[in-house]
Amino acid sequence: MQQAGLSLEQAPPLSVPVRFFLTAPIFGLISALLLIIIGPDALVSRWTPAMLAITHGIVLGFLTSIMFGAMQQMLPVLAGAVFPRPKLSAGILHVLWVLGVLLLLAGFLSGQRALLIGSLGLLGGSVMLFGLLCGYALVNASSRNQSVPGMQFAVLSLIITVVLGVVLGLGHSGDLALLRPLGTNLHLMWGLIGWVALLIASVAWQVVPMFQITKPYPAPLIRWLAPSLFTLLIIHSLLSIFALQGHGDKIGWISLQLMIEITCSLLLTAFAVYTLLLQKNRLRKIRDRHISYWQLASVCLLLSVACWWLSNLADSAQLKEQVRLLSAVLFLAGFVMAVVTAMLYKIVAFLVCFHLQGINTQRTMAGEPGVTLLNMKTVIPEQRAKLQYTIYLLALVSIALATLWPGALSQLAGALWLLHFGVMAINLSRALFSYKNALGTEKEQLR
Amino acid sequence: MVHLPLSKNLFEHTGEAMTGINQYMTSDHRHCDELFAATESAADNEDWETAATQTEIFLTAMENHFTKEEEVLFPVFEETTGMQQGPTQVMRHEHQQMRDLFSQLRYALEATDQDEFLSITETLLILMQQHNMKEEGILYSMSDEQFGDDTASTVLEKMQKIGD
Repeated sequence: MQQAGLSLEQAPPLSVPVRFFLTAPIFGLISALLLIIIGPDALVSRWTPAMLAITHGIVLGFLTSIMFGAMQQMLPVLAGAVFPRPKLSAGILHVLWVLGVLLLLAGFLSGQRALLIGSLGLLGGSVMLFGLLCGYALVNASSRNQSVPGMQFAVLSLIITVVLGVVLGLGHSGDLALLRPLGTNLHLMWGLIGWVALLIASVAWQVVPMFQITKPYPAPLIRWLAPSLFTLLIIHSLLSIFALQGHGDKIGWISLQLMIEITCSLLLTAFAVYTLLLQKNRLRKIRDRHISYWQLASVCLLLSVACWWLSNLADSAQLKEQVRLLSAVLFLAGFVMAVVTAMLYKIVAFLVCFHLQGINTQRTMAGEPGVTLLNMKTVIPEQRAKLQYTIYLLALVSIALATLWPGALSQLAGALWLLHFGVMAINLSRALFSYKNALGTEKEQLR
Repeated sequence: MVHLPLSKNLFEHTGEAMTGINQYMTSDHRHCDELFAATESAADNEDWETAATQTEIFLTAMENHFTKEEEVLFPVFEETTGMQQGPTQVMRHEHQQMRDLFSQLRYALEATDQDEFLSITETLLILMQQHNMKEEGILYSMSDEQFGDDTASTVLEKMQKIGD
């Protein structure tokens, strides 16, 4: 056990997570603009270059950026796992990542090989860097929080996702054979279930009981969800590869894969159902938007799993593709987006207050004039948070319906998402302005 | 390939029986959480009479908890581990941050300002929870590991005398 783990330096400087949080909505805006410009064509299939640019803009540029920022903030607090040289490593990671995502989007849209190859190097490099930083921090962690094992599996899944992504990207650039649909399906499965869902579940073990004062999740669920899902994904991947190569008894493998898919679905369903049950019996009874986001997220996860299975009943290949797209949209724009938006608002408002209080104490102790203290609802006023929630609901409904009627609704959905990310960008920037204002007129760097 | 410590304590992270100081102090945290929820509900319902009573009960419980730590647990921790400026300093600093919010909460209560009251409880809740997490995950478990049986039972006895 490393005893120096818990020190004043434990919480990273505000600029570490915040740089990721501020650039994230910009990628959201870019993706929404693409949907407006390209319109219904983008949603026709998973394979259009525009669809690839939009989904990667959201998943990498928006969601993963926020997850990078949040993990650098949370790991020190959760596990006493401190990142080495937090400001420098966050700076390098951020620049590599943002450039990588921008080049990838440009590469998809233009089809230019140099852009794609450049982005693959940058994205691969930054994910490896992130993995190394997390690995270093966790090896030297001073406590073993119940969220940590799940986060480790999530980071490993991210690495696998990106390796598969690089192989697929080299297929797009013409350097390798394009492994469709097998490679894409594995890439999606590792990215959505391995990276995103495992990370959200691991964070949920802590934040759902904490923020809403509920009972803890059942211990077996906490203990087994991440290792089971990870193992199932590994077996599923190996079976897919063997089946493609024509080895062995194909029917047997297909039924085994089906059983794995059923088990994965049951695990995700259990997570969603328990989240709803815990929240229903929570001690904290006040009206709170944070809880609405989490409830919405859980319902969307259940609907997403249901749509995935319902798609098998579709009588045409096109309808099947549309219902699968709906399942993916409910997962990303519903489940993941709701949790991430809720967490982002809480974390940013809290960090601004927390850092101001810290500076205030330091200054008062040094005999200097203190700073204006803020509370969370002054940092992000209720009215603006409410506006965000309303726009988000409209945007979610419109994008879900647009998967079924792309011709009529794609551009409306794009416009509502543009509004969603616009309001978010403004709210977050104003939160940070309030921080700077509270510090006074002196030139004070973001600590 | 990145090395992540997958095998290290992978299956020891939850459901293990907590012992001694960790168990006692963690249940103290949960008790304060319950009082916090009741206080916040009363203000949310604009039942200011109940809110006033609940706030006092809640703040007394919090102060008692801080006293247990600052006057009993932390000094023994500092002496046993030799860490004078480490974890305990951070915890004392965060106690001070919470005490600042307690006085703001009392002002809001006097002014029966619901928005202000709920805004402060919102901030307090997260400050409290991330603080508890660090104590439960690091400080209390280190105390249980490093204090001998005799020291641990003396510490527990002294803390129990302070009350809930």
